[in-house]
Amino acid sequence: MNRLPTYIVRFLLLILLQVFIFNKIQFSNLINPYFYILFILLLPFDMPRSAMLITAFFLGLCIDLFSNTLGMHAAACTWMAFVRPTVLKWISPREDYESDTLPTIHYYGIRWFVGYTLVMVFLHHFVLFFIEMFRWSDFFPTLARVLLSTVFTSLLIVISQFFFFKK
Amino acid sequence: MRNLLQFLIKYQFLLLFLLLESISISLVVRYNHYHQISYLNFAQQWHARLSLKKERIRQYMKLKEVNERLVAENESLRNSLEYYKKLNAARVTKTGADSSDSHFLVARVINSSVHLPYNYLTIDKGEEAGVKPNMAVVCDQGIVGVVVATSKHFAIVMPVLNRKFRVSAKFKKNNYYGSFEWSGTNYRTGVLNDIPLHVPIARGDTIVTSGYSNLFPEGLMIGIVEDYTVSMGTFYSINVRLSTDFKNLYYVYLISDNKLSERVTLENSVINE
Repeated sequence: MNRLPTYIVRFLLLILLQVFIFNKIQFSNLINPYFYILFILLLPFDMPRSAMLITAFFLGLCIDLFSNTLGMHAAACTWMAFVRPTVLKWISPREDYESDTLPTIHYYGIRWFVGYTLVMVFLHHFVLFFIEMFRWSDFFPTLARVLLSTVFTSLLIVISQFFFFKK
Repeated sequence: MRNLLQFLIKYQFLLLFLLLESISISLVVRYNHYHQISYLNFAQQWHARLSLKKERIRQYMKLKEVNERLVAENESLRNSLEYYKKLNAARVTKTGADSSDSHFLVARVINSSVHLPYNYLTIDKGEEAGVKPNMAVVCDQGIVGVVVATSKHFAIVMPVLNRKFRVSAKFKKNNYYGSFEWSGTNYRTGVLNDIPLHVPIARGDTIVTSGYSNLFPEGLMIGIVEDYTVSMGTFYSINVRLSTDFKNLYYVYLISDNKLSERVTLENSVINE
């Protein structure tokens, strides 16, 4: 089965969603949801790691181009793709990941998916928000922003799974 | 080459990650105004710090050259000082041992020891530069020793720190004189003997050369009185702290005295009679 068209459509759709809807959502500068990273979360297990890095880099770069933050999302997404294999290994279920499955609720259940989403979103947001601040002096206010946005983005991602990605 | 390729393949994931991250970060600092300014501030600060360090190292490297220049200048100053002293002496028509035709020559110590019973120094000037045996050797701190042997480019100096070394020394304050020699063990102290018991002595008194020895000019700094004992009931034995630090001796001055040979010949002719 060829999943490539699905991914291309998803890639474009998520960029549009992010640029036109989620970039407008800002609660008092504390919470900024970055829903588009769902794309990296849902990439297949067997995708070559280098290809994943490049895909994530371009995803971030596209978001950057539309939100006037050149390089920041690219850096955060590349980092996220870099740690994904490690995180997956770390939270792998008792029986290892089966072939022909995807990292979704449908295959591995809601508990696994929520854990996976929280860790990955936190890692992405941490890098993104600190690159945005570009200094360590406001560490705790920035960390608070990271944590709040992580919760909000994760919530959006988990909810979206029930609406759009039903199998 | 194969190893390099293997390395690239083995770490391709990590290398690609680092490449993409550096592209991203360079984009961040180039196209975002706030980040650009932060980065420039940071870079400028580090650049300033590093150049300060570099400058310090460079100055340290140049110390030797600067030192050599200073020593050369010192030599010429000492020579002109001697010249003016003579002019002055001639003007007041005062004659004496200290208005001799002496001339300074600078040399670097290239080998020395301080912990043997018979220590010697090697200096980097020899016959070619006009060094002769029996020339007095001094440094800015005081007495050093006397030249005992010469070759074309080098000379051996017998310093105070040698059990064979003797010099006539006196109190600067009252001119009582005695025989000065090394203590034989400690490189910082010497012993002044033959000072009679009626001479008033205090710690801190200055000891200088007397000029009775035909090697050293009068009034050359030797050291200061540290403590004293009575030896054999009739004379003081005085411990003198040497003013010259022989462990830290790099440049010395040789004093060439044109009238010295004349004096020695005259004195020897009387003794031999």
